Amino acid sequence: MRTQHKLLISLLITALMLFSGFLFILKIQKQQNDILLNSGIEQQNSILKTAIDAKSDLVYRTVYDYTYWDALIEYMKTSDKLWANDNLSTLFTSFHVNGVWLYTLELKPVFLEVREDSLNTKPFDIPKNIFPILYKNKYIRFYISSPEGIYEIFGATVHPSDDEARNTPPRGYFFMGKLLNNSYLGEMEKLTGGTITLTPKRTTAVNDDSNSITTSYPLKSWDNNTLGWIELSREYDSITVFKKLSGISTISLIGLALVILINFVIAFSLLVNIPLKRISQALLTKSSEDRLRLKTLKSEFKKIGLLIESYFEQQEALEIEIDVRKKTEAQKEKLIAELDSANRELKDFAYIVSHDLKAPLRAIGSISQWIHTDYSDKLDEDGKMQLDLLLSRVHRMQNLIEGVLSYSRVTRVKEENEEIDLNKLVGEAIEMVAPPDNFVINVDRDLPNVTFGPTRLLQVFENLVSNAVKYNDKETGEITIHCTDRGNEWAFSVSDNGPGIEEKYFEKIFQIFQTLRARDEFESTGIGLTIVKKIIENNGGTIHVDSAPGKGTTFTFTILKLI
Amino acid sequence: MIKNKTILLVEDDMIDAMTVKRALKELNVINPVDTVENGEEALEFLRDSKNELPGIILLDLNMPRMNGIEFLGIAKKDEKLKHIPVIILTTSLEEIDRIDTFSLGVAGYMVKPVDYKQFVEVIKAIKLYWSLSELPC
Repeated sequence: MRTQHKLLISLLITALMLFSGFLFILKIQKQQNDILLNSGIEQQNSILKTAIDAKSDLVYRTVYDYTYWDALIEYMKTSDKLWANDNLSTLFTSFHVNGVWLYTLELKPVFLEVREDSLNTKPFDIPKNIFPILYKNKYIRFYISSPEGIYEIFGATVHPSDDEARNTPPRGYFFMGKLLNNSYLGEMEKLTGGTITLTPKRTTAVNDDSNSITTSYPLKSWDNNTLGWIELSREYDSITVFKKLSGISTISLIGLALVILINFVIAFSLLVNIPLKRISQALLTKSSEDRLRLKTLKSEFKKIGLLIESYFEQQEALEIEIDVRKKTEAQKEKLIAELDSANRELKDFAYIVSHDLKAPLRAIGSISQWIHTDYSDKLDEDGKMQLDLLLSRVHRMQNLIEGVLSYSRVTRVKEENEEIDLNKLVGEAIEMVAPPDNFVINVDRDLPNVTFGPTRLLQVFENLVSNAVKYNDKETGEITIHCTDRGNEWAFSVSDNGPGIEEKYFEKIFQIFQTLRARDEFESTGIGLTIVKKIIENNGGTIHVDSAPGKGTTFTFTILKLI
Repeated sequence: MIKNKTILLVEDDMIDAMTVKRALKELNVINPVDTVENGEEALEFLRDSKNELPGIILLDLNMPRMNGIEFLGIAKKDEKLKHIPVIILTTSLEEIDRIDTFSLGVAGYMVKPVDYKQFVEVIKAIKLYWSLSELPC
């Protein structure tokens, strides 16, 4: 799973938590709302009840007052129309009732009148079942349906004037009724300040659409049947405000969550995702365009970008270097190969040429000697001398050729290194030179052991000692061989008390076939020091000369301790 | 020198051959000398039944067609020839040549000097060696 996705998921989880918190708040709001509504409903219920009771009260009290009255008992006996006109019919106008009923104890109706809007309508009887209940309870209040509508009926038993407490047996039954018509409902509306409706079916207490509370009052018949409901509907501003507020808070909470989410996504994408994409893109493609984009990065990514850029630069430099090195290496190898073959050719050439030169030289030498012997009687002294000169030049050439051969042998022929006791080897070298008796040779005691090719090293010492002997011009020749420990190498010196060499010739003496004296004066090939130098240098050492005319000569050379 | 035994000289240089013969004559060596110019001719000569096998072979190393070392390599494997003593007469001072030829069982290794008198000394040494050394016949 990519980091980007992980982050998005954690973001979603955060959003979900935020959302559930928001739902929790909503729930609490709803509970508060319900509490508010319930108390509103209770309040409104009592308002409705109070209004209905207030409306009923006057009628109820009239019924109460009329029914302990001797005149009413008298009227049940006489049925005096005039009295009824004066006292009962006036009830309709003075108390705005809609029905008056008077029954004898034998349930004979004495007065029966029902009116609506001052018009007589067809009167209806009070149901017979009510009377036993009224007889027992003295009062009754119930609702009844008629073709005109629902009536609220109050009933009471009739008693003499002196029996206000109604302890005597009842003498008759008196009822007053009020039709729940529009004027009744209108009055109720005035009292309650809401909308009053009469419905056969009860509606819900709270109307969500209209921000109003509806409470209802049941209209019960004498036998406890619900004939309908009086409903009071009132609008409340607090509900509107509350709804609006919760709506606003819902929207603003959702909005806030969305804003946070979007903000986070954008910030994440801008601050993290885009820089990371650029970095990975640059690392992948390595193209200069992508790398240029790295420079636009900010904050921590700027550092990373710079690091990557420097890494790229290093890599490039490294690649260039590697390229250069490869080329150099290839060139070097080619050169070495060329040099190698040239060297080999040269060595073979030197060997073959020298070798093949020797045969004719020998022939010249031999034949000149034969002539010297075979024709000695025919040759005069001049001729013999010339033949001798010829022979001496043959010898010189022979020496030169041998010199070339032994010089080329130094590199041409490999010699295995072995541990050499120099005390022995230096002795052998001196023995081979066989210096005359007038020479004193001092050699350091306890010369070290070195690792070297034995023949080569012998050649070195032999040549140096031989030179010291050969060129010495003193009566007593002195030669000193000395050794110094220089840490990782040994330094050996061969000093003599000979004529010495001028400094300007120091280089020349090591060059091939270079001699400081004329050949005829002093027979020398001039190859010895050249070979010594080559042997020493081939083994990682150096050689140099210290000398001044008349002060003797010291040759110092070094040998590495470990080869 | 051992009586009547011939000497086989394997030498391509005419003057060198002359030098050897002259030196032998000077030292009063009367044994006949057969001269061939290279290894191939030497093998041909030695394998020809008409020719008597020589008492000693004087062998040059640097020769055309078949050099001394190659000749030795073949001759020393030949049952009939391997007992004939071979003395190298060469201009080569090379160590490697000395080692190679002695490995192939030569009786001696002589370097040809430029000086004729020294050459005679060399031949004298060979004569001495041949006279004193017991050889298979």
